[in-house]
Formats: sequence, structure tokens, C-alpha cells
Amino acid sequence: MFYKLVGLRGPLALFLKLGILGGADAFMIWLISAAINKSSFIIAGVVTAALVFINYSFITKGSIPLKFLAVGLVFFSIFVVTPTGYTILMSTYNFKTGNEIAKAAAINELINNGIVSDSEGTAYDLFLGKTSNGNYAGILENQVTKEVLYADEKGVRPVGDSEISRDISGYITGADGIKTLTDEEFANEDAVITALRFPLGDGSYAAPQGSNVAARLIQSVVYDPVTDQLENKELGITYVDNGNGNFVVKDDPSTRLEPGWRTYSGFDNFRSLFLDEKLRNPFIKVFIWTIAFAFLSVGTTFAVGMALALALEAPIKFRRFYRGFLILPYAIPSFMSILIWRGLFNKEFGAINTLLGLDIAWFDSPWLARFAVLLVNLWLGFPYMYLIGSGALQSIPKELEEAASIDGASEKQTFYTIKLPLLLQILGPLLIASFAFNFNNFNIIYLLTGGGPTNAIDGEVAGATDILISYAYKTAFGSNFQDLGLSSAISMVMFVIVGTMSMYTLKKSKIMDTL
Amino acid sequence: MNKKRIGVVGAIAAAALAVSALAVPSAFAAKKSIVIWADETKGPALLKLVKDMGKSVPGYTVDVKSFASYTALQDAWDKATSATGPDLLLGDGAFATKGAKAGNIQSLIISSATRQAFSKGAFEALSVNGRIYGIPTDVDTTAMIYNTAMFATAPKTIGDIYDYYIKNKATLTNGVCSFNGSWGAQPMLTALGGGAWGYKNGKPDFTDVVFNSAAFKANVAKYLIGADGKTNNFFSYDGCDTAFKAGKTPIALVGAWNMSSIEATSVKFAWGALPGTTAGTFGKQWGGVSGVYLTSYATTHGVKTGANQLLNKFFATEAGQLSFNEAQKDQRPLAHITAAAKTKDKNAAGIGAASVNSIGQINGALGNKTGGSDWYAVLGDAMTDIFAGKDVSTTLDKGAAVLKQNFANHAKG
Repeated sequence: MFYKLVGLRGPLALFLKLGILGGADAFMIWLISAAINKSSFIIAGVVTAALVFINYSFITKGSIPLKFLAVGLVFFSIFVVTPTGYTILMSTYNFKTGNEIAKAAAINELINNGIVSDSEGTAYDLFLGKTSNGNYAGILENQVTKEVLYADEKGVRPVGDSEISRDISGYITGADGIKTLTDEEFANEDAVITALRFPLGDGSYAAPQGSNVAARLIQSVVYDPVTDQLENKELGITYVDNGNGNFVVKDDPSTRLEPGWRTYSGFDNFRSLFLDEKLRNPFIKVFIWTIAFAFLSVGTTFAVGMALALALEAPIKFRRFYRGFLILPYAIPSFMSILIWRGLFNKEFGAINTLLGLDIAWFDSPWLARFAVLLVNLWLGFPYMYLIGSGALQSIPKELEEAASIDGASEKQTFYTIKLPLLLQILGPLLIASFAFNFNNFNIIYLLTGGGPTNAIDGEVAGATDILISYAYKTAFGSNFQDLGLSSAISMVMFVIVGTMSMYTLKKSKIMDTL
Repeated sequence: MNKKRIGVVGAIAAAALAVSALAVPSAFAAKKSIVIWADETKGPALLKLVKDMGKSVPGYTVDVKSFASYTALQDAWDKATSATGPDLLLGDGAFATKGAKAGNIQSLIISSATRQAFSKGAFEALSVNGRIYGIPTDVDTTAMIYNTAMFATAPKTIGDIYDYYIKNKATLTNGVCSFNGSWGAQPMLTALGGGAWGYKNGKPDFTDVVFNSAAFKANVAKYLIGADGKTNNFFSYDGCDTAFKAGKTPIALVGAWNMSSIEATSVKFAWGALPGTTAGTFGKQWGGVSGVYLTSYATTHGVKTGANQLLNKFFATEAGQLSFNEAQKDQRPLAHITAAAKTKDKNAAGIGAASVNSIGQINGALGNKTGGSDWYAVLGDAMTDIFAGKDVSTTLDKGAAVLKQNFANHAKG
């Protein structure tokens, strides 16, 4: 169809199609390979599915409509379905600071943290190399006692001076049966060298800490995969898996080891959100303000936008200039406008206080901060409502107004009984979209007030102007303690609220029936 | 060949081309690389030292990624994965606290010689649950400077400064100015008998919250509040630096990073420590330590031993610290004892002398917000409320209740 539309057909169209498809395939295969290299298997899987789907759609003649939808569906699945699915998944995990990595990685870290130096901090000068059969071996010289040992992965034994050679400074530079490593060999085998252990025979071992230094270490924490327990042999403490992503002291579960790991927690995040007073109270407060903010934002911008649209419907002088002027706030990037407004509201240097002779800390009072947020959002939002209102007004047939006028209706009656119902019918979907947009209007809150003011000395978590999306952001990234699982749960609640309200309103208003 | 077959062949050919294109770079495998991340203050200096660092780890290359800001570094670190993360990371002590908890910063085995090369406090600041998580680089702390046109010698008590301020109020903006917000206000809090926690046997006692101590309440009311119940402007920690530089404030609490802008003015100053309410006592400033951290990604990248070697042979040595300091042109006191002694900058020496009086900035406790808000938020709000006229005692008690929970939960681990 497309080729016909642009006048292309025959072999040229076929080769063009194959060229574009081949290019897309090459790009996606490169993406898959890069994703696999970075161990991002979910991304690799999604791109593979997209590759198969696109090729099926374009190579076969099975489904013509798919050709038009395929690319859109792929992007929809990558940018909407996958993040949504991932958010749903994360909301069922205890994914937070201290519980971020997988259990195996956490056990590795705990074992690594359980490696300690001996009490004297014994260190050795190390000459490291390989034996003729390719195994690692080294000469250890105690930096204090100057005792010299031959070491390999089986153990250590004393070495005589005749078996080693030294440089002018006295450092060991060679040993019988050990071939030294080049710098490149050392670097290339870093992972193997990192894992080297030369047992010292008393439970401790020497391990390389660089190319020519080793330390005597003791593994104080050991993991038993059969019982899934950690044991600190030095302190005689056993740690058990508490089922919630941490090893805890067997006899005192309130004492836990960190790091923990992320683990499936079912509906715990949702349960905490609704039942834990510390989370529930700020959540309810934020929820109420979010609804109020979204309704008031849509209401005020619609009222002002429509009023201006009605005012400029009449053929007044300089109408074009006014119309152009009114959409200026819409033309300026919103983040710039918000930052300028933040400056205007500044207590010390802001134009508002200076011009009006006031001394008001606008962002320190909850109600003034909310007022400021609504005012700035009105400034940012009314041009949009003005534009769509003007368009909608022009689409209402003039005959209706004339008929009402002939029937003796006043202008007010005409507006409220004819124009407004029609406008709402036309603009309904856009108002719902505007509500959903403002429900998640992160920019204005983050840039204008940062969600504040927050009464920290009362231990408040959420600020007076925080809406659910900024609260979710704070929960996820707002401090050194990040709770991504809880934040995902908040996002899911927002998704359900906005989705339900939009569906209900669309269904009730029967707007979709007329589209 | 029909159209369908041509399509399949075309797709396969494209795929083969893509795969072969990917195979080419692997044939030219580069040297193993140790990747270091740092912010805009340390990154550019490290970039100048890539060659020097490379000499400590022959066989490896050293790559530095310098971020545009501390926030950008933090943000990237939060999002780092084994595929993208660095092997070494430079940052403040908060990275140690958070990284130990998250498991993406590794604890270090430190030799006795290296331990002795640094002050005990430096390693303590980068320790979590008794394990060391970083090699200290420099000390982030403040000191007092006084305008020598107003005080010929260092004031003996806070009362001396207060009396001078009251006497010359018409020409002064403040008595004492903290250039570094509520963090830099710590000497004033402690000079007045307040602060975060008390000390028992020289160690922090997290059960003893001194934020609402009787002495602090009384001294705040006496020195910081005017007859109208609001701030008397004797002390400010917000936007007061301009007044000091204009000669309208006698005392400032400053960090090394503030010095270039002060030296650009005509104000003559001398170094000291903010005095307490009685002669011979002094306020104590936070002593934060920045460090170099070995990440868990170094293990997954197969460069852990090399990265460890770079830590020990460059960052933990006197020569390494001095060259890093020189490249940074920084006046922050170095954490390495002999390197710090060899620093010639007089401001670094001034701050260094003051840092002896500093108290450990324990980020885990200060950043804990299990009581609702962390130390900095509580302090900021409390001071704002008190300066705006709210009751001193009630406000400090409310703040202390939050801090008590924070510190108790931090102590529990």
C-alpha cells in the first residue's frame, strides 16, 4: 500500500523493503548481542521477540494489517508493557537499600566481609609465577620475620636461599621451578589470582593483594549450602535466612547481616502502604492533595482558558495579537517557566515580595505553597485549554446559536444550555487526559517546591505539596535509603486510580460511543 | 528465487553482516582496564594522573570517568550495574555507608603499615560495623577564621563575639557566619552545648541525644534569639558569606573550598577555632572523610587484584596523595599523615590544624531517617522554626524525639 502510495512497485519496492528490513534486522541483532554481552537477558528476549514478530509481519503474507501495526506494537511493548510489567514485578519484591543484589551475590559479599587479617596484620613480599605444569606458585617473604616460604595451592614449605634469587635491594626476583608472569599475563589472569589461596596450615592462608604483596588472612565467616546458614567461627554465631532477604542471628532475629538480597515478598509492600501507620498516614495525606491538585488544576485552567476563548471569539481589535500572546506561556519550555516562578516567589529576592512589599515565605507554609503550585500550574496550563476551547467553540454550528436566539434565549442561557454541554462533549476526553497528566505532574512539584514544605521536626516523610508521583520518587530516590519495591507499589496504586477514574468517566459520559 | 525466499535470504544476510561486525572488535582485545569514577572536583585531577596511576599497575590501563557534579556521580552510581559500574570510586563517606549496606562496595584488607600511615579517625570514618571500606584521601572539615580588623587576636569565648556584635550591630550583618549551611553550623551548635550525640569514653553514645540539652536550650535563647523572640542575626548559616567578604561579619566558619573566594577580597583574616561559652572550650566541627572505594564490579570485571594494587600503591601512599593534591589544587587537608605534613598551602595547614578538633561525621547515623527525617532536615527545620519565633524548648524537644529514633536504629545496625 505504502509503495503504491509513493508510486513504487515491482523489484525496486521489493529491494527497498528488504533493505529497510535488513537494516532493522542488523540493528536488532546487534542490540541482542550487546544485551547478551551485558547479561541483560530480559532485554535480549524482548528484542528477539520483536525481531521475530517484525520479520513474520513483513516477510509473510499472513496478515496485512499487522504490517501497519507491527512497529507501533513493538514500541508499545518495549516502552509501555515491559516497564509496567517490571514495575508490577518489583512491587512484589523487598527491593530497597540493603536488599538490592541477588542472594548468591549477597552471600559472596558476606563471605568476603568475613575475611579478616590476622591480629598482627601479617604481610608478605610476594614473588608470583607458574610452575612447569601451569599451576600457580609463589615465594612468600614475611615482611617482619623475613621467613621465606614456597607456597602453592596445596600449602607452604620453607625455602633455602639457594632456591631463590634476589635483586640489589633484596627483593626476590626468581625461584627454582617458578616462571614469573609478565605484567600482561598478570592482568589477564587477575580473576584467577584474586581467587588464589595459599594455605598456611593453621586454617589461615596467604592471598595476593597485588602483583608483589600478599596478606595472611583468616576466613571467619563460612556458608553452609546444605543448611543455608552462615557461621562466624571466631564469634561462634550462627546466622539463618529470615525469609525476608537477610541473614539474622539465630537467637536474636532483630540483629541482621548486611548486605541482604532482594526477595519475593508478595503483597507486603501494599500491606505496609495501607496498614503501617508510618506509611499510611503520609500516603493518605498525599493522595488527598493529589486528587485536589489534579481537579483544581483542570478546573482552573479550563475556566480561565474557556473564558479567554469566549472573550476572543468576538471580532475585537488586535484579536490575532492577543491570541498569539496568550499561547506564549505554552511556547516556553515549562521547566524554564517553573524555575522563573520559583525565583519570583523567593522570600528575600523574589519579585512578588519585592513589588508587593511583602515578607512572605511562600514555600515555608503548606497552604501558601499549595496556592503557589496551583497558580503556576494555571499559568502553564491555561493556554492549552484556551487553544482547545477556541477550536471547540468554532466547531459548534452557528445555526444552533441563531435558533436559540430566535427562540428568545439569552446569551447566558445559550452558553449554559447549548454551548457548554456541547463543549464538554467535545472536550471531555481531553479534560480526562489533562486530569491524568496533572495527577502525574511531577515537573511542577519537583521544580517549584520539591514537594515541600516538610515538617521534619515532626518526623513528616511527605511534604505538603507532594503528589503521589513525587512521593513515589522520594521513596525510590529521595535519600540515602531507597525503597524501590515500595515505590513500585505506590506507582501501581496510582496506575489503578488513574485507570479506574478515566475508564469510569469515559464510560459514564459515553464519550467513546461517539468517537 | 521467489519473493519470500529473497526476503528470508536478505534477512539472514543482514544478520550475518551484523554478527561479523560484532566479531571484529573482539579480535583486537585491549589491555585490561581499571575504571575509576569521580565527580567534577576530583575527576579532572585524576585525568591528569592517568599515567602516574598506570605505573602502579603495569599490565592494566587506567580509565577515569569524570562526572559533571557530585549529584551526577551519585545518580550514575545508583544506576550502575556489573556491565556499567566502575572498579574504583571516589566520593565522600556516605558512599561507604550505603555501599556496605548494598553490597556494591567491598571491604578492604589494610596492612598495618597503611593503617599507621593514616590517622585512626580517617579509617573510622570509612568503616561500617568494624570493617574498612575505603582508602581515605582528604578530610572535609571546617575551621573558624576571624577578621583581624575586628579581632586582633582570636576571641576567647562566644560571649566575646556576642558582645562585639551587639556593640557594633548597626554596622554588622551577623556575628558568626557558616559558609556551608547547617553542616557547617556544627561548631556553633557544639559551642553552645548542643550537637547530635554525646560521647562516652571517647566513643559516640547514640543513646545520648544532646540536640535538646538544657545547656543548648539556654544558650540558644541567650545568644541567638532577640527580644522579639526571633533571630537576632548573631548567627546565620544561609547566604551570609557575602557579608563576611564585605567586612560586615567578624567571624566565619569555612571549608578549604571557600578560601579562594575569600582571598579574592580585601578581608584580612587569621585561623582559629570557634570558642565555647567558657574560655578554653571550643565548638567542634564535623570531620568528614572522602575516600577511594573498591567496588564489587572489580571482581566481576576480573580486575580486583589490579584495582587493589592501585589502591595500595597509589592512593594509600604519600607520593600518590601529594600528586593527587597537587593535581587538584585543593586546600583540603590530606588524610595521609606524612603527606598532610608536606602540604605547603597555608590554608590547608590552617584547616588541618582545626581538623584535630573535629568530630567524626558518622553518615549512617546522620542519614538515618527511621524517625521520619534525617539529621540535616531536622536541624534545618528546627533552626528555621526557632529563628522565626517558635518556642526554643518545644522545637528542640520535637527534633530530639525524631533523632532519638534515628540514632537508636542506627546503633542497632
